[in-house]
Amino acid sequence: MKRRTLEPNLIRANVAASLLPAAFLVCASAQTTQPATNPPVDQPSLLAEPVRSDGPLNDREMTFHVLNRLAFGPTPGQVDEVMDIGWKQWVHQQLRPGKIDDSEVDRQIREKFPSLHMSMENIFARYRPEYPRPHTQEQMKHLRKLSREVAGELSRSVVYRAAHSKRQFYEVMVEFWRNHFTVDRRKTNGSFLANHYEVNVIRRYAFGRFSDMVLASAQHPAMLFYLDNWVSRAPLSPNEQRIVDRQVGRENVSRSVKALRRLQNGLNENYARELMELHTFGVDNGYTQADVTNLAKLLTGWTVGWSKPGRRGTYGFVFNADVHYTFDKWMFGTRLPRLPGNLALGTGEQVVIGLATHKRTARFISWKLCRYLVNDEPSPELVTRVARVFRRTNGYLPRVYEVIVNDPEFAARGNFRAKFKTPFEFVVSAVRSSGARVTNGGQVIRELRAMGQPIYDCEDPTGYYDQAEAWLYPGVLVHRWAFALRLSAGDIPGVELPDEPYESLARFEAAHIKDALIDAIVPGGVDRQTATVIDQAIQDRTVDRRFTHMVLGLILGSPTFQQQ
Amino acid sequence: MESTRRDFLKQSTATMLTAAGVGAIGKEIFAPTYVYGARNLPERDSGPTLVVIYLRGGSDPLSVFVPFDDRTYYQMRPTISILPNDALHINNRTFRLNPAMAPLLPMINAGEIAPIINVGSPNDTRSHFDAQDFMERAAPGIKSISEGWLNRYLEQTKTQTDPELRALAIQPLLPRSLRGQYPVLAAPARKSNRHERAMAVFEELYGCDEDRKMHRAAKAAEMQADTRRPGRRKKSRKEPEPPPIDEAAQRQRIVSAGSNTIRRLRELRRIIEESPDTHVQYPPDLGEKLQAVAKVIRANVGLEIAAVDYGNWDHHIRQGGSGGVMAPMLANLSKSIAAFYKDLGNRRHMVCTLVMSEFGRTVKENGNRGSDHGRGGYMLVIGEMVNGNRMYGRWTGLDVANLADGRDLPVYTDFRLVFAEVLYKLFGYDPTAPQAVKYMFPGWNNRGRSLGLLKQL
Repeated sequence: MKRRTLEPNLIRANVAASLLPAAFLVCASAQTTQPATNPPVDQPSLLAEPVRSDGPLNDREMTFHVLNRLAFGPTPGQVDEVMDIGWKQWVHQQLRPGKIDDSEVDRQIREKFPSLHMSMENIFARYRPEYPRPHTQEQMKHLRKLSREVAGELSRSVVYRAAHSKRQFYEVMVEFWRNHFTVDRRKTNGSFLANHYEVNVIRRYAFGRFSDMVLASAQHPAMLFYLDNWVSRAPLSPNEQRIVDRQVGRENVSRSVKALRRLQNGLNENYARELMELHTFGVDNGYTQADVTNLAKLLTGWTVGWSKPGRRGTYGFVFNADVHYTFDKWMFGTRLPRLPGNLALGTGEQVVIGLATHKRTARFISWKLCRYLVNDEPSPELVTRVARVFRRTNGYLPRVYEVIVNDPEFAARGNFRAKFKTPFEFVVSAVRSSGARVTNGGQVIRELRAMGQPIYDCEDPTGYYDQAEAWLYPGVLVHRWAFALRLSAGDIPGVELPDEPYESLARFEAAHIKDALIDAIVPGGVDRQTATVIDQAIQDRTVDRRFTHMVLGLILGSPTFQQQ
Repeated sequence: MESTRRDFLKQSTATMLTAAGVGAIGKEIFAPTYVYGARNLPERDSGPTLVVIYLRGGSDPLSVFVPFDDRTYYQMRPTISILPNDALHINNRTFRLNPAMAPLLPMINAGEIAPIINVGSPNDTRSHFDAQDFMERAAPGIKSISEGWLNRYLEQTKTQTDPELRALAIQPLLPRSLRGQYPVLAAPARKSNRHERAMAVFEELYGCDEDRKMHRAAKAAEMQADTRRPGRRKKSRKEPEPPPIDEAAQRQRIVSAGSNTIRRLRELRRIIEESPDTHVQYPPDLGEKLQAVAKVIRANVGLEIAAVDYGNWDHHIRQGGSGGVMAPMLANLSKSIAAFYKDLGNRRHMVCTLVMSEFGRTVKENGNRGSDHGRGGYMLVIGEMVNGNRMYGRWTGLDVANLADGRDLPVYTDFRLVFAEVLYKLFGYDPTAPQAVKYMFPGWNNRGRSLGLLKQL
């Protein structure tokens, strides 16, 4: 915000456009072909009609495209800033997020959301105190409050980082992997584990190696709970089974028999199936039910626990060799070596890594990345090119991203604004485009819930879809429109709309304000219908701050702004 | 380590190629086929309506239907049972009814309510999350199905002339049972000024003046969009590739979704506003939602399916018997349903209501005068078309040996049996037909069985 704290008096003294701090005006004067003093309000201006050429994107469009897809939309003036250094240079920087100075955001995160970088033990100690008997009403209430607190910190940090981090491409990819390896916090202990999961699995490997991320997620308690692998175990031995059978129907059974009863469900294939279907190979991609069962057997005993009994020591992944399936294991028709005790863990890990680096995985992940970054339906040729790099680099993700972004198909005219923003992308890009500052993301999170995309509460193990079909049903756009109007009126608690440039902008004529805002927020222009409607709306209106906010709201709610 | 992995990959690839193309269970999604195309379209405006009330959290069957003759019941539930003399007689030798449900008594006595006991999912999960998922998608144990069972039905039987409000959810978000390809409006019962204002502002932007034309175009686009759905990836690869969606095409879809939103929401608001006052008193919450549904039904606009949620049935603490937390909720439920049927007037005979919850609860009460997640639950099928005056489902008492895992009511009746019968008897759509069952109820084989809950309409 420091950039904008020029003295208001100074601004008032220099009404000349060139001295205004608002980047809006700069870009407007650079681009507008008609003088601001001559507004033909009854006709859509030239800007309003998008350049419909079949040729390649011009530099400005390309920069906007890059900021739409590799960032959550441009902030005011960012298109010009990036054009100054060239979009290729900007992409080059974004592909090396570690070298971008983002200390201000990091500091804010540390201050506002301390639980985010805590170790698992500390999270449990702080937010999940163990009561001797944690079931009185007050204690339950207290636990719920703590659980909401830790969950809120994660959600708000997600919004904050997406809106304000300078490592925008990193945040965009984190959002992708958050959905690819989704966990739902409402399931067992979810709220206490997701913070650690976000930092130590998703954020840690989003610019690392894919197989590392798969293995990290496979061994994180959040995923082990979420997809039930923690209860998956080999069937009871004949002896154990006999003990359980003998007790059937009795009411008072010993604790050990109760424990056995709980375990007699045996194999749980849930995680193994999703690991192949959603995380690596993709659905129906050359594996059978037998492979799923075999994989589940390999992963028996991958569970969760404390390193010492009674909740002490570290909390996390535990390999319980006692419940591991010890018979011969097969995978894709290959017999795997039968190893004793903890060594069997190594076999499982190798198989997971084998899956994660497999060529079918390379193709599936490449396809999904192209779908996210390029088009809802990327061409098979592009996917092949990307998958080749995925294989060659052994799934080193920055190289995979790089090849997608540098591919001619990414820059093709046909992919410009061809994707529909998810609610998350819409909300964050609206905040960024308006130049607003998120001071408390609580309300933004509630809005996202109303739009059907609550953070870390996805009901499906697929994560939220990024294709238009998933979000274009009746009744949802009205939430976006209401959000656009409230945001532009500065009416969303915890999101602060800056005075500038809107105050300075209000000194100009209506048509100029409109052109300036359109060019800053949707540099490619808006569609004809939107332009006509905005032109009608601004007729005979007194130009003041509320007027600029109204125009802003119309643009944010327009069909064009829903696209990226 | 490295060499082992390579070996594994080398060997596995060869075998996998032979396995390629073999899908996982339940993955096949069939193209919409008009299995029972003989739906009587001209009569649709005043056709039958299915109202689904979902009690979220796992509603306790033993607090609704009291096995008053069973000593075990009183032993297992010292503080949350209902005494025989408190419970209401419902013409059944085994069960009496929670006194809080007195408002439903006239309907029960008239044979308009068919209760089903020990009904639920064949999958033994006790997680709300999974159990609701499996039930609302009617795909127990299959997580890869992402469309709700009601939506799959709508999608299967859609036509070009479907009314705007063929299906509706009176709540801010669509319940999972209605999510999917078929566009269904979800809107709260009460008007939101913010949303009204937003619609007024953006009405023109989303081209609502060209109502009819847009509508047609949107419908055609919807029908066309079918082939593009993600679940059909495999199939569409073989077909000639449709042109990829570019900026203009995407905008067209957004605009039509926007005008769709406005048109349907306006229609709903208009119906609710213009509906004559019937002077029927509804309780708050669920009642308010059902009142909105009743108005839409009375407006004869072709509403086929309406869904409303009623939450907070997860009574781990202070559940109570005829007092406690649960009884007032049951009273609210009963009053709302009774008011709803009173309000329906001459459309009453065409409306069937399905009350369900994800699972039942433990037979034994827990240490907090509540109950924990169980297995077998109950359902209510309500309407003039039901064969009432009896309980459905199999009852084997509360003997520990007969309980699931020695603690919960067992599941004897698959909820899909109820779903299938309701769809068939109400709408003439047979989801168990060979062409339909893989899409509607994957992995289920039930040709021909039926509980006989409903009379043929």
